[in-house]
Amino acid sequence: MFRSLTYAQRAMHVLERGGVTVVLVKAPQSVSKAGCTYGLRLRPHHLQYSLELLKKHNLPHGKVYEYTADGKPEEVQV
Amino acid sequence: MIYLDCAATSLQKPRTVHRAVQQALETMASPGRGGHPAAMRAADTAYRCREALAELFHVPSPEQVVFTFNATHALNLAINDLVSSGDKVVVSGYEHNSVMRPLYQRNARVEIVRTPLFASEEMVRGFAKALPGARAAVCTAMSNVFGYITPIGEIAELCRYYRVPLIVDASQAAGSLPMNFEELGAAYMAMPGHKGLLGPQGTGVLLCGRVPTPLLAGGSGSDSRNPYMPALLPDRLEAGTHNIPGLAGLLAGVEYIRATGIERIAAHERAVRNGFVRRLQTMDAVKVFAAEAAELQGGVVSIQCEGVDCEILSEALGRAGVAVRGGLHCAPCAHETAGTGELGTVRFSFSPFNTQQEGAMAAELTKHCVNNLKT
Repeated sequence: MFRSLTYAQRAMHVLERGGVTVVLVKAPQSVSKAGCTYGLRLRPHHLQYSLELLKKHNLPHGKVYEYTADGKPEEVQV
Repeated sequence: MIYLDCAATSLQKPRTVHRAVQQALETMASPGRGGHPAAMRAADTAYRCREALAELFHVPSPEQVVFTFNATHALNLAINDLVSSGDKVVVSGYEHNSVMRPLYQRNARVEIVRTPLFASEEMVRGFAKALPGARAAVCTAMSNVFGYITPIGEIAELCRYYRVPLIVDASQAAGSLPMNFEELGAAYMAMPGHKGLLGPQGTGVLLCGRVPTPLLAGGSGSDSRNPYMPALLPDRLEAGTHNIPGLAGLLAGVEYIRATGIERIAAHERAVRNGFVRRLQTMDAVKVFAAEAAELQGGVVSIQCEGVDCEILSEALGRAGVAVRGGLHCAPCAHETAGTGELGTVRFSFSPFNTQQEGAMAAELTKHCVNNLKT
């Protein structure tokens, strides 16, 4: 999750250049505490590598969520 | 028509700009609002425009590129952030009303460094003397009246030394001169999208070296529960719906400049201007404000004609098929400094799309009009 669309976009470009396929999405309202948040959706096995890439590029991110089998987002501790 | 009023707005744009605007009108919605494809296409275009501008001007990150309505809006944002009532602000003698009026409106104590045209060493010395104790400094990178390329690098260095935040007005320079925002270390750099950057009107850019106070408050498409504008750039300064067709066109304009090469554009404009100036200088009745050293002047040149009103000459040129601007060019400060305040000038401003032939023809038509008006 990201605090602004532009940060989410920059993160998307960084991850894509790093070989991670991501999709830019509007975050579900249930997790969008600040209102109108954007997130990047990616495969779980890319998570750790993606977080490292973002840290390397000084790109702050918010919470991380995993979608459960019934399609609900659940926070993941990273 | 020979269009030589690019200092007002660049009428001739690359075809890619036209196509980009059309495509945006047909396929793009508003970024940062919905999550549907049309909104995401708009978001992608806006982001790519930020990225392209960040690369062109050597800005560390795209978030520091803020979209505005025009350069005036950008300058007001910057001045609003740095200047309060009674603050001492140092400016060059060649500033536009989009700098001077916001400063006076905020009741700043404006100290104008008045130096002769093209006298860069004097300007640097003037800033060195005036900067101590200043709250901010504003300097144009290129005069919109005379095309004078100011010693902005040295002035930026002085500002860093005296720890005075600098606002660079790049309205004429952007797209025509190489500029490095990071190297300058300026607090802000403002520019329109519709002049040298070859984008549509209704676009402007503010490069931010700091996080400013917002001027407008409203919807930003982020952090919506926050009753105040978000803390982060660019959202903090971008309230309301973006001009996406404009930004699509601006992106195409910037891509054109990057593909062509900014040094090549600068050299071309200078060559057309030089050809025009050489032809016109043969006429005794015309005073051409041209720098002896070519690197001191961009693709803008002003003239005065003995006994001929500048607006009447401009009108005659318009009828003859040469589009120029006469008068004070919204820059009375520049005219007062250069000594042209009483009569004004006729300004010719060149673009990457003007040819040597057009420059030559414009000079001949100017001589023809002057002869007619003097008889």
